[in-house]
Amino acid sequence: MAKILEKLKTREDFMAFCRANSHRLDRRKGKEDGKHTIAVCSSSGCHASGSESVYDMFKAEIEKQGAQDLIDLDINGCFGFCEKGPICKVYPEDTFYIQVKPEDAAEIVKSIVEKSKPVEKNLYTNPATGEKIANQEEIPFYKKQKRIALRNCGLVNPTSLGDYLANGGFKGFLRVLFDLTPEEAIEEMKEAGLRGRGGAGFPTYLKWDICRKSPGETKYLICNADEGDPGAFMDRSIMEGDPYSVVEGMMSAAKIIGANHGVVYIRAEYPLAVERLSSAIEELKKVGLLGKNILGSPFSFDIEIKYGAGAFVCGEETALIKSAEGDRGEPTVKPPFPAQKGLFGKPSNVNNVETFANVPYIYGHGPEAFNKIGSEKSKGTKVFALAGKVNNVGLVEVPMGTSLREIIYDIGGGIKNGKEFKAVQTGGPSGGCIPSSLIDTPIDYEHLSAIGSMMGSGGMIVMDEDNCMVAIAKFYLTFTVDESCGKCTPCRVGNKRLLEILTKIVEGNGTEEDLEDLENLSLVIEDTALCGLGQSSPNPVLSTLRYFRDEYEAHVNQKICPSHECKALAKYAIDPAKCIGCTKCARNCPVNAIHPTDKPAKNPKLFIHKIDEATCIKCGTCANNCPVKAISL
Amino acid sequence: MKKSGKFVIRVCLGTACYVRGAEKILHKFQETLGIKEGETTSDGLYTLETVRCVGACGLAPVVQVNGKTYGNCTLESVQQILEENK
Ligand SMILES: Cc1cc2nc3c(=O)[nH]c(=O)nc-3n(C[C@H](O)[C@H](O)[C@H](O)COP(=O)(O)O)c2cc1C
Repeated sequence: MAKILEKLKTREDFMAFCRANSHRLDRRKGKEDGKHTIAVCSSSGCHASGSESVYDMFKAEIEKQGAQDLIDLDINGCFGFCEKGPICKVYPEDTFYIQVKPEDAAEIVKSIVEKSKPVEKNLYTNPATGEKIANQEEIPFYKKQKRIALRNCGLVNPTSLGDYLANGGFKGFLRVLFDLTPEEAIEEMKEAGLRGRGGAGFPTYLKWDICRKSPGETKYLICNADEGDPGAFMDRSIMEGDPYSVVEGMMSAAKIIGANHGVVYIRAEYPLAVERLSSAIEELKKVGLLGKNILGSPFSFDIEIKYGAGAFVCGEETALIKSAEGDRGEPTVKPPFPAQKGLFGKPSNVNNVETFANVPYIYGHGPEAFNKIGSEKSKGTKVFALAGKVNNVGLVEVPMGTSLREIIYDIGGGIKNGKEFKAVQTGGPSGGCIPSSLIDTPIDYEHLSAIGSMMGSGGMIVMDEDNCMVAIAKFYLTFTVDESCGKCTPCRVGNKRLLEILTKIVEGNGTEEDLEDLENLSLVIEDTALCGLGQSSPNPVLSTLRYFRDEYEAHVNQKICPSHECKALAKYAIDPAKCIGCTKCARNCPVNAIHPTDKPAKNPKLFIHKIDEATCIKCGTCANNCPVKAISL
Repeated sequence: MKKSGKFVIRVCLGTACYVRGAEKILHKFQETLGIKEGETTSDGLYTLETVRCVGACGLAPVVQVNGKTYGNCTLESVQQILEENK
C-alpha cells in the first residue's frame, strides 16, 4: 500500500488514495507484467486442510529456487470450493490448483520458473469427461454462479485495503456520503429490492427507513454475525475473505439511518473472522475512513466488536441486543421492534453480514445492476452453503430463482457415490426438508415458504437414500431443545415433548397416535412460541411428516427404518447363500448372539450361522468382521 | 471443573457432518475408548466431546483433536486418529 503519512481528510484525498492503489489487482485480473503471484487460500476451511503449511512451503521453495524476484507470495479469501482445499491460484495465468499439499509446492514453483505447463496433478478433473481444467471459470462448480456478495472472496487479499479499493471498494459509500440524500439512498435501496439475508427476507430499505424516522439522537447500527445455523458458513467466509465490504455496507447504512455507533455481534468461535474484521476496522481508523468527520463530512462513525458465546437464540435480533447489552441472551416480545427501541433502548437497525456485503455493490453499481438479477420478488443473488451428500461441497452464490436441480446437479455435481437423491434441507433448524419431487422449485423466499421450508441463512444440506427423515427431524429437535433459552413454555416444554416422541419412534416404540400428537403439538408450538426460534422449530418435523409420512409409518407400523439408519430398528441377518461358516462373526459377537445352524456351508465341515434376533444388540461388529460380506441390514 | 485428558477429541455434530455419518464416528470413539461423550479415559489420555459445526462443512465428517482438524473421516480414521495422538 502507498505510504500514508496523514489521514485522508477530503474526498479529493480519498480519490488520490484510490488512484495510488488502482493497479493492485492488475496481475490478479490477468495483466502480464513479467512476474507472477501465488495466492494461497487463507480461510478456515482451507486452514483446516492444511493451507498454512502449504504457504510456508511455497515461501521456502521460492527462496530455494531463487525466484524471489519472479514470484510474489500472497493470500486469498475463500474460493468457496472448500472440499477441494487447500486451494491456490497462480496469476496472471489464472491457474486454479486444488488439494495442494506442502510437497506439491516445489513442482508448482518450478513450473512457473521454467514457464512450463501447469502441474496436472493438482488441477481439477471434470468427473464427467475426465478432462483436466486449469481455469476457475471453466469448472462446472463455478459456471452457473454469479458472485455479488462474494465478489471479492478469492480475488483479493482480505487484509489489504488497497486490494479492496482496486476492485471498486468504497465507491458506493462515497456516493452515499456526498452525493445522495438519505431519502435518495433509501429510494435506491428500494429500487434495488434487497431483502434481508439473515433469514426472514425483510425489505432492507423499509427497515432502514423506519429506523431513520424513529425519533432520537443516538441510534445504533448492528451487524448480526452470529451465524448460528450448524451447517452454514457464508457469513464467516465473507468476513474472512472480504471484511472491508461488510464494514463499507455498515458505513453506508449508518450514514443513511443517522447512526454514529456500529456494533458487530460475532460468535467467539470465529477467531479468524474476528481477526480480519478487527484489522479492517483498525486500518480504516488509521486512514480516517472511520472516526470523526469522515473525509471532512459531518458524518462520524465508529465500530465496536462484541462477542457472542455461540448460542443459536442470540442470532435472533432481540436476544442479540439483550446479549450485547450484557444481559442473558433471551428474546423479547415485538413490538417494540429494534428500530423503535433497540440497543440500550435506542432505535437500532440489525442486518445480517451478507445483507451488508451486498450494499457496496448496490450503491457502487446502481440499483438496476442488482434489480435485474433474480426473480420477481426476490432480487439479487443468495449465497448457499451446499453440504451433505453432494459431490461438490462449498459456498455457492446464485441468482435468486435458480432451481434446486441446478444447484445440486450442475453446481454440486450430483449425489455422492452415485446414490439416489432423497431430500434437501434448507433454512437450518428453522427450515424444512424438500423432497426430490420438488427439485425443480426455483429458490427464492416465496417458493421456499410455499413448500414448507424457508431461506433461513442459506444452509443447504443434501440427503441421499441412506438418510432417515425421522432421524433428521430428531437431529434438528435435539438441536432446538439444546438451544432453547427456556423463556417461554411452548418452546421449552413443547420441543422437549416433540423430541421425546421422535426418540420413541426411532427406537421402535412409536404408535400411529404419536404421529398425530407430533403434528398437533407442532402446530401449537408454532402458534404460541415467543420468538422465531420456537415458532419455526417444528418446521423440520412438519415438513418431513408432510413429504415423508410413509417413512414415519414404516417406523411405527412395520417397525422398520427404510433407510437402515435407525439402529434400534436394524435387523442384521446372515445371507445363507454367502455364509462360508468361518465362525468369525460368532467369535466376535460381544453378546454371543450368533450360533451355527445344522446346515453345512460350502465346506461341509463348517456350518452356516444364524443371528438370534432377541439377543442381538445391533452393534454391527459381525457385519464389519465378515470376510465375505454375508451380513447386512 | 473436571480435568480433561491430554488429547481432547471433538466430534463435529453439525448438520453437514451428521448427514455424512458423524454419529457413527462418535459411537466408534465411544466403543473404542469405552467412554461416553463428556468423559475422560481413566489413563487421562483422551477426553471425548462433541461440537456443533466447526465451519469445515466441506470436509465433513470432521473430528478435531486439540485444535487440529481431521476431515473426511471414516470409521477407519478413528483408529488412525488415536494412533497419531498418544
Ligand atoms: C432463532 C433465530 C436465529 C437467528 N439467527 C440469525 C443469525 O445467526 N444471523 C442472522 O443474520 N440472523 C439471524 N436471525 C434473524 C434475525 O433475527 C434478524 O432477522 C436478522 O439479523 C435481520 O437481518 P436481515 O434483515 O439483514 O436479514 C435469527 C432469527 C431467529 C429467530
